[in-house]
Amino acid sequence: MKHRRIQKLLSAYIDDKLNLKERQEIEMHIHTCDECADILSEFKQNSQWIADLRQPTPLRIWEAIQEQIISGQQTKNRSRFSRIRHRWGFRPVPAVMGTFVTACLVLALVYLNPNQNYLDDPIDLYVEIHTDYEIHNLVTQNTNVNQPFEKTEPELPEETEIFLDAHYGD
Amino acid sequence: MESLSVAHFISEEVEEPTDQQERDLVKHCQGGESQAMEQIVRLYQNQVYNIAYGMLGSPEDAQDITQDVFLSVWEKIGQFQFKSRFSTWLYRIVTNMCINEKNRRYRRQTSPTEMDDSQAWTPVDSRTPEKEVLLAEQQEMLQAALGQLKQDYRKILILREMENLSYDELAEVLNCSVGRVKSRLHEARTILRKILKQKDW
Repeated sequence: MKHRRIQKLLSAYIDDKLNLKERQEIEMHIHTCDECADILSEFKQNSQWIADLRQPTPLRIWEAIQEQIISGQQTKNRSRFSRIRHRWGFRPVPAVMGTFVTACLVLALVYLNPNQNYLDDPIDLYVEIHTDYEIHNLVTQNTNVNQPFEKTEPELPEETEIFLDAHYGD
Repeated sequence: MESLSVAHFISEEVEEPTDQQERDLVKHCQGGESQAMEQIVRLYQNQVYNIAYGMLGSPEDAQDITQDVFLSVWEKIGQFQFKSRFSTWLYRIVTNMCINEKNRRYRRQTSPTEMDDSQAWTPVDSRTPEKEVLLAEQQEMLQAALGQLKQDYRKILILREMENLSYDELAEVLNCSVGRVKSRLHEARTILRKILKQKDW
């Protein structure tokens, strides 16, 4: 049983991963046990052999891939954009449809605005009132030819008066 | 990038970079600088090539995989988030690509890298000293034995013995606990020893 236990520790022993007590136990055991001593020396030998497999690296690894890396630099920049596109779910067809629908909505709001009041512009308001006033005068003149011309101001709501005064004076 | 640091990294005797230098290099690389990538290739080509050689057993395949690994690193470096050391991330890519390559070949039933005892070894120079002939034969035998190991065992042995990775680094590359590294190394060494014994070296 002791052999098995010792042999289980041999791998960690060659990597120096045992505590002092375990190390001493192994060192004492292999002095007296040829089987465990053989395993230890073979482990060490195999480790050395694998380390000896190391070879000088062939030259020109960089030179062999340089062109692809540098040409890939542009692709890389492009692909960064495509990652963003992907993240935001950007696709040509939905994008065109989305733009079209948005444009329709904006146009609809401009032309069919229910709150739209063409009298918002003071000039329009003035022209409107002035036109009404002139027509009223003409109608009055035509129907009451004999009566002298009497210039009467049109009846305007108080708010409009204030508004006109503010913009055009008296 | 400072020209001073470029000269430092490209020098013949490649020194291991400090963590900060490694970090800076990776960041420049993530920014798409091919100069930084060149430095990374020159810094790590020895490790990558030797791991690939250990995993595949053929210098030509190792060279091909080394090139593929660096192209893959260039492509994926944006995904590296500095949660581990760059080198362990790189070793993970190398070992995975080697295993994928072996699996791909296995599926295609063509295995030019597989070594067997019948394969003739031809010395490059007929005047090669006896010692070198022995070394070459020993290496051939060893590669054949490694070829019989499970990929996981081969991987851990190559990383530990060839690249001298610590148990902590191994745990990071293999994505397992240090305890698991310890037991897996024990199993791998025991099985390799048995295979080599059967070959009656």
